[in-house]
Amino acid sequence: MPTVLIIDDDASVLKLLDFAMGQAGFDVMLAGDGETGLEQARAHPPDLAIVDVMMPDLDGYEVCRRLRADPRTANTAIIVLTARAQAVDRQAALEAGADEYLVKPVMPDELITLAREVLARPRAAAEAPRRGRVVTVFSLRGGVGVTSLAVNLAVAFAHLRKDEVSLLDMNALAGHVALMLNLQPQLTLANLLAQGPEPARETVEKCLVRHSAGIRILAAPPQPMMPPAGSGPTVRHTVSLLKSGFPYTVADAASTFDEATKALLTASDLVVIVVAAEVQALQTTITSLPALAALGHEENNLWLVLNQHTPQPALPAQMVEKALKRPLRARIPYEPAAAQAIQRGVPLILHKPTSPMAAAVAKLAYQIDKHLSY
Amino acid sequence: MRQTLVSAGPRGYATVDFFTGDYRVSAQINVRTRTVNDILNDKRLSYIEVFDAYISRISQPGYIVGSRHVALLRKNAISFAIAPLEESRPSGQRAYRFGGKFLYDVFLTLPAFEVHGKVRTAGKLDLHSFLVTNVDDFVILVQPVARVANYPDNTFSGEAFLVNRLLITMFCAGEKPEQVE
Repeated sequence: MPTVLIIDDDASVLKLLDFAMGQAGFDVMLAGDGETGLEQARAHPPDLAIVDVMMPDLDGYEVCRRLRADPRTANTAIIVLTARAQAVDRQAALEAGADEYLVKPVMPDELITLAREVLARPRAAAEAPRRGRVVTVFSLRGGVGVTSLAVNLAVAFAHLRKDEVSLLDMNALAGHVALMLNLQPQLTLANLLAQGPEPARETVEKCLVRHSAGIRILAAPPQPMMPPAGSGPTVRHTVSLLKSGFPYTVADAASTFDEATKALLTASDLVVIVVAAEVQALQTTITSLPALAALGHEENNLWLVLNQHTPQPALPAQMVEKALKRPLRARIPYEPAAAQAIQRGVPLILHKPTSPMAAAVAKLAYQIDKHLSY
Repeated sequence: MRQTLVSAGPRGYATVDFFTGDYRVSAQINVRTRTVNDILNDKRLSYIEVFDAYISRISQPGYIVGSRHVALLRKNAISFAIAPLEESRPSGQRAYRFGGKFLYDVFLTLPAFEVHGKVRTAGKLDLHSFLVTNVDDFVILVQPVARVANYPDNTFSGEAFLVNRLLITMFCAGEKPEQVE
């Protein structure tokens, strides 16, 4: 007899589904909220979970994500029930890990038929523990807003994933991530690079500074330094440790092609290339694309993002696309409050969350997450 | 007779999606004997009380950024609301004004949204009386589709929209109506 766990904060729905699913031959477990549902699922992994989206404290999407993330329940079939009936809601449910999505009100017969159909599908083996993703923000031309985008992107990923995200400032010569977040770290990248090719996990942990926005920062040294020769393996190993500990690591890369930067770019799952709407930046981008491709990146993992960091761009976006002969994945609009946000040491996405720039960064994070999830 | 699941909450509650320029709020309203249309157009209340509010940003309308059991929404900040058809109509004595067999194709813009849909009228659509001298602030649009101007991939549809006419920045109507029973 297949077991089904129904998680819904509406007692009348629980009662009705308990009766209907029981009559249909399912062994039914009930939970009135997400946390209780997850506890029950861990204790007695069900064959199927029917999850309501709109629940207090822990919404249904988060329940789906946690079910999928736990090896004990990663293989459980999930049907999401919700009164939110838009196409975007269906997409959100499927991205959170649901197998199917039904809009309330639902006929019990319809739900039972779908439950049997979902259970009859061959299930993949339980997923291996998830590996984090590394997104590097890069431009060979300085001053085009790489650090600002990297900081805001990290915060956006933390919000999106509702989990801590690491942020790596690889700009050893002039890193400004700590400044933008109003931090004064004691241990920095310099301490890590001094550890040799394989710094211990504990050392990396110690060098990460926690920020209230849900990010952990490995800051650049306060005094300019050149990464020492042989720093490539240290960077590779550090990135590998960060990957195993965080769902996302965002790296602010130096505007060079030195050994450390190359190691970082090679270890990245996706590179966001920041382009400014000016001739010099375009020329630099055009020349850097083949070098990035030579590091083994496929074209669909090199994302061109136009950052309008001045009020009046020298070139229109269409001309930028035409010159690059590739589409722009995102356009970050100019935001006058960005300078104020930097002065205050607060990421713009928190300082002015409803601004078009914050929205554009959040959308970019969402698109990257969607791209890297498949 | 087949049994239907309650859509959300106990009887007397309607699930509605509200849209402001920046946010989407999915919530329940205790309609009691009234409809959502009655409540939105009740000029004695400038706020609307909602329950089980789930909030998403317009840029990521599928992701819930916050939820609370009770919330108040300022009516004049609501661009439009998506409600079931029966909830979008006025109830009781006001209902006589909302019949008609002409459906006009309309396109309108609101802060952050562009909306296609149809307006039902008894006779020729008079733009001035519809937009300016209309007694109700929230007007009904059927077969509606809203698109976020800055994120054109994000669209919303439903049985009916209740559009805040005071926030309409542009309103265009087709010349020839479709006649319906």
